[in-house]
Amino acid sequence: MKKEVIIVVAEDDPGHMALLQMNFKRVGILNEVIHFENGEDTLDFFFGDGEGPHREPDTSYLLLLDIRMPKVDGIDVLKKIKNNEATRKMPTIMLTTTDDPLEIDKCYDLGCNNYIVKPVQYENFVNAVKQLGLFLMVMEIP
Amino acid sequence: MFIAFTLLFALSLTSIQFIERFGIPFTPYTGRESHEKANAFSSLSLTADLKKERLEHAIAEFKKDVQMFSRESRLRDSVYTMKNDIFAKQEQTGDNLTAIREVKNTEPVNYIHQYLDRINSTYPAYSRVDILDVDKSTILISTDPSRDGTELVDYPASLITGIRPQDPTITMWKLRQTGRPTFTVAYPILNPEEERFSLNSILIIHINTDTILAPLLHTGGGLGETGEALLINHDREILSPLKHPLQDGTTAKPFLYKITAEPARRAAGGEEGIISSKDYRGIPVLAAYRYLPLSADQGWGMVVKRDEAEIFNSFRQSEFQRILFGIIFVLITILLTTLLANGLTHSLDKLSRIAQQVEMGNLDVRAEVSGTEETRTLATTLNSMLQRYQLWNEELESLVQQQTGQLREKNLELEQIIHITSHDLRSPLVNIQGFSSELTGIFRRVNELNNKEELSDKDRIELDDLLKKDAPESLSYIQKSTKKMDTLLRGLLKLSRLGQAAIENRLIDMNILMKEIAASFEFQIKEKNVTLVVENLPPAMGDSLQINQVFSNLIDNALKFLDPERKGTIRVSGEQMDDKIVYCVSDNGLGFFEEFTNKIFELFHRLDPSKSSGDGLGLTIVRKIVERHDGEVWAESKPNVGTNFYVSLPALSESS
Repeated sequence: MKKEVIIVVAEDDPGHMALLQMNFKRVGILNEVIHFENGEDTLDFFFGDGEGPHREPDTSYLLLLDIRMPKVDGIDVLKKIKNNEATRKMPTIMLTTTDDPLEIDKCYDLGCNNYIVKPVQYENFVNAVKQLGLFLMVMEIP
Repeated sequence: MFIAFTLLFALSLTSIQFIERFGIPFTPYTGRESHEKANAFSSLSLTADLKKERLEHAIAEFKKDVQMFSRESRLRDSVYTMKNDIFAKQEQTGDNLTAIREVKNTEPVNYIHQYLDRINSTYPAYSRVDILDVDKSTILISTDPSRDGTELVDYPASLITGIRPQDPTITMWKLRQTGRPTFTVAYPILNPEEERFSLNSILIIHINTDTILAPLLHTGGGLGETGEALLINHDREILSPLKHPLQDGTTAKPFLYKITAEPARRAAGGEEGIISSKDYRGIPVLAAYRYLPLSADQGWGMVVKRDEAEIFNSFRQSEFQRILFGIIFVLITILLTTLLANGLTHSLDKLSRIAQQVEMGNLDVRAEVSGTEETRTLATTLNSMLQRYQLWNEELESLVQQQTGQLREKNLELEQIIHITSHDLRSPLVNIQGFSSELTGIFRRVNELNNKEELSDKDRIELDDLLKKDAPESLSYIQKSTKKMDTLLRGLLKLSRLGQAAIENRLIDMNILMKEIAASFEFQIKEKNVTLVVENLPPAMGDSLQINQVFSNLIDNALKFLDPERKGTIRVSGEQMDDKIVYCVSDNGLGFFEEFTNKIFELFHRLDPSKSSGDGLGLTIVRKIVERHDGEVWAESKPNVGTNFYVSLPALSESS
């Protein structure tokens, strides 16, 4: 049995989150999704500070980051993720409203794997994930 | 250019000379030359008139004399007696000459002799007096005894035949033998006591031409070296020797030479006037000619003339001098003008070079103050102008820099706002788009189910979910998002209006202000059990409404971020530091991490959206207002300890 990839989503807007989840289902992504509403909580999860859930060592994660978030924004999270030896290799996709080339470059410079501008074309999203070589278990939708 | 000036000057001088000499055509001003000419004519005319008058006078005298003498009764009687005696003696001897000799010592003859001598001595000019015997055509008796009884070989016949008692006859004729000119005046001696004209004899007085004419025709210094007066008779024969030799070098002799020149011709013809013509030598002269009538049909012409060359000689000489002086004067003027102009152009040159430099952009140059007063003034003025321009330039530059800086700041601010806004507006739009398409999907599915003939239970559950859960959820998200967009835009508008609002600078009593704010937050303060302490605050200078907003927002924030673990205390204080007054709003709330110190002032930034229901504009507005008051705002915070917000405003100036 392949290990299921857990998708971690850092997104502060509930609407965006709802749309994301609905569309995951539609394109056949049935993986577990962990949702954080801000960067701080996200970092807590990965680096084990504070209460709440923590990262499991043997689990693969896919990180979806929104840039504009309260407390700690996506860029800072990305920085910290990529600077940490343990989390550096984790595939990260930036999902955000801004299409400012400077921002895009910054994210790539920091090491993100992909950058997708909202509103999301979910087919493209699936391709991006597939490109990353992640095997997402798909359950057939009856 | 200045060559033109010189030429103009020279030209004007020359033309003045020219006009002076020749006059202006078609105007009364005829110029110096004509003037001289007129003067010459004038003097010639005067001389001519004078001479004419004298000659006429002399002739009148002669006439008078001869008339008077011939009328003397004793002479008349004596001549009558003498002639009778001669006649008687001739009868005897048959010889005229002998008869005359024999009557010589008779009493009448003696008387006549004496008488004639007397006449002859009246004028030195009288050279001889004869009495002609008309009948015998002989000289009856003369002051020259050798002529007594001689034939009238010399006398022209016309003289005798022309004798009339009305008028003495003046004749100028030449002696046949010698060719010498003879000037006579004659008058008839009538028979005594005869009623009608009975010519006995003629009394003729010979007048020495040299004695009379020479002095008369003499021309003095007034007519110069070439001046001459001449007399000609009816036939244009000269009656006196000419002053100058003829063209062929010979000297003309009276009666032997006829003048053909125009002035003489006119004078002999009876005309009087002035003329510029050629004389008997063919030399141009100015002449005045006159006519002296001697009798009804006879007269003499007189010409008084002077060589044109001589007349204009002195004039021309002085003219030459004048031209010379003129040229010298012009040359000197040219020289002076050159020097002056050079000096002038030199200074002007320098000034124009400076101006060129300025044109190229160099404002540092200054003109040299030198030269004439005018150029000095010009240079000084130019320099002060340049000084002023430099100053203006610098002022302008700094102003522009200032404005540019301000513009750049504003631009940055705007960019930031646009950046943030487009982000924050995009987010709700994503929701609206996403959930709109969800709704589309939902309705499609509902229609599908609706079109089914029969609905299974599963279908019914599905339909139920769609209509009761999914659709409302989508709509809810859409509505929330539109509201969010509305709020964002309103916040932006508020911010932009703040940027436009005028600042009414007034002295603000901060204590009163804080009391007002405390009053407006009274409910929240009570509800959250917060202690608000306001120390004695120094007054501030600014717009009271806007400053109120600042502190209201700060208090509002403090109330939002209370630490639930402890009782909230908000303290407001203020003190003067140098030229600023610094106020502090400090709380013992949640605080925040250092990295957020600047972020919190950002547009729409919310530290913890879950906690606050604000629009994220509070602190942005605070910062904007404070900055517009030339102040600063900053924050210090420690998580879980508290936060201090500082607002510094310019202190009151002495003048306000």
